Amino acid sequence: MNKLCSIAVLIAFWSLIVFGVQPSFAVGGTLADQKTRALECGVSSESLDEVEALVKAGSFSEGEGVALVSPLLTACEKGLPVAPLQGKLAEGLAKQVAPLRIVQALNVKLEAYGNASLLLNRHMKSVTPEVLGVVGEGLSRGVSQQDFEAYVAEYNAQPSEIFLTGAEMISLLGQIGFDPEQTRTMLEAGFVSGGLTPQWRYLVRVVLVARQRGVSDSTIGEAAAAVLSERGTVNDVSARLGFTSRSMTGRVKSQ
Amino acid sequence: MTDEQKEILMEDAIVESIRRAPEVDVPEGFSARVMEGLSPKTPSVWTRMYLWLVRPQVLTVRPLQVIPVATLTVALLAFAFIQMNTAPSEDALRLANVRFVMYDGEMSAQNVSVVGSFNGWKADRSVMWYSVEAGAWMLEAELPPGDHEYLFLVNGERLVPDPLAPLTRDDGFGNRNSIMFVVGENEQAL
Amino acid sequence: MKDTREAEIVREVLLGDTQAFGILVREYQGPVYNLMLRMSGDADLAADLAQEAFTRAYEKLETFNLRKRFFPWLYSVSLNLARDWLRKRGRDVHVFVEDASVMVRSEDVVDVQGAIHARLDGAKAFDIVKGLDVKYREALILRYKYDFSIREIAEVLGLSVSGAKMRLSRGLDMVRHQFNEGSND
Repeated sequence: MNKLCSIAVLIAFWSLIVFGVQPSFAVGGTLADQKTRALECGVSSESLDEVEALVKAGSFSEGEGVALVSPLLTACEKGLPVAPLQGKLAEGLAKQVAPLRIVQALNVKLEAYGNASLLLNRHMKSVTPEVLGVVGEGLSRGVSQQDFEAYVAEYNAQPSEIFLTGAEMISLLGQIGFDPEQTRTMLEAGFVSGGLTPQWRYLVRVVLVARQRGVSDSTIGEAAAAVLSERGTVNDVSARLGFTSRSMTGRVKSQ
Repeated sequence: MTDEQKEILMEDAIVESIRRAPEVDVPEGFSARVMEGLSPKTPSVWTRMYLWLVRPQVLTVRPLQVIPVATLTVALLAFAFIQMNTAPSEDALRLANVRFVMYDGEMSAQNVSVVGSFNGWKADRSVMWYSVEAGAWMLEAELPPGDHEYLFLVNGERLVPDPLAPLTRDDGFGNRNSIMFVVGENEQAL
Repeated sequence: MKDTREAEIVREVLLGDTQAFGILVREYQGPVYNLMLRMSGDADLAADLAQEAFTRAYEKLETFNLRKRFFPWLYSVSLNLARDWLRKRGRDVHVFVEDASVMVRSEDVVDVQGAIHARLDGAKAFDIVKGLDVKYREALILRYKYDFSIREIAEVLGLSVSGAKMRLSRGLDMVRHQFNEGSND
């Protein structure tokens, strides 16, 4: 396929939509068509069946059904993870959210995963689904692309499990607005010492508790970097900050 | 006339009085006031596409020259094709025991379930039981490591975040989900 | 206004035609304003709240399901706004309602039907309705003044269908009861 030509065509359609001109053809796909293609591609039938049932029951129009299934189909055909979108769709349907809102949320996720894939493929030869999932989810939840880009550019040669842990920390800490500079510093310490083990992904829990007690991000970051350079554990960070992990989970309510 | 008939008559009269109750007039210039405060909407590409899709017309199918919706979506996102390793990770299969707790000392709720990312947001599989001792609704579950989003479904109608969850997250629909971090076997999330 | 026409109007507004929203405002400003009057007891407050309700509906218009009727959805938005406002005010707003116990004196009348209607002076009956808790009051008004279906009432009030039916029958019971009390002299 001539890539340039097809992109030109696609951009032309994009312009039509943006400038509000109605394309002069009818919608080509019915929900049944979409469903067939989705199943062929490998989308699991549960969410497709649910949407179809709701259209049949009259809760959604055919057009709404098509709009809801489209992002899943696109993700699948582009080799992007479908499960997160299926989960979001199931959530939206269960919460009885307006279809437009669901479509918007799905497209936000789809776009995030697309950007994640582009970002990762710029620096890495092979991208595991886990890392794509972590970066995609992180982007869809507002973590800055620069933070991920900087991390991936520098550490993509690291062993995959450690690389994944670092990515998860960028994602989770980014989501709670933890100082990204601090995150970078502690990750660097962890990589240099070799002390970054998978359990560090949940440093975010310690951060949340510490913040509740008025500890600043920089103090937390320094403690974490110090512990990482000594190849310690996340519990050591709590201890350094003055509270034990028991006190974190001492309540009966422990989940 | 029987009491029942009187009752029916009275009900009719009440209904009539509601039907005919006068409506107080809106103050002058009200609609102008409202309109003044509104700024024009600038629909996103997605919104335009969605509205175009749901416009009240009969969908017709025309072969070949028609560009399907999925391709249109692709056009708007313009990805490169990617080669991917699709083997699932083994870590994901290790489950951990977790417990959901919702305090309700007076047992004011009639039933509570947990709905979340791990059960497709469907309540039927995760009904909580009430512990008089703890004064709380509980549910034990086995979840794989990771962060899970969830809410409590109270009396089958209200979705309520977990007041004890240390972290909440925008669900993308304008509300918030509670987050539970599952770390490893029998580890406690905050 | 026909439902399909309303759906068209909403689509136009979503596509950028703000003025079209004015059609919906003018159509429903009466009921929304009156709802706010019942909730606040004050004309100025009611006007402010009603304006905010329309503004909020405009802002949330993307969440409106085009296949449903607009008025129940608008009513939901308005009712939630009013409830939020009441909560912030700490529920110490005293809603002024005419003394509903001032009843037309019961008289020995042979025409029982006429007597019931006479006793049930329309205005007095509605005063009692206005004096009910908002849960019952709005259910009765939605049903008998605005002809909402049971399902629509259930959606607006956040109830199941059977819950909505119960709300209505209890509401009527309460009004009837207050009348019987008022007229036992």
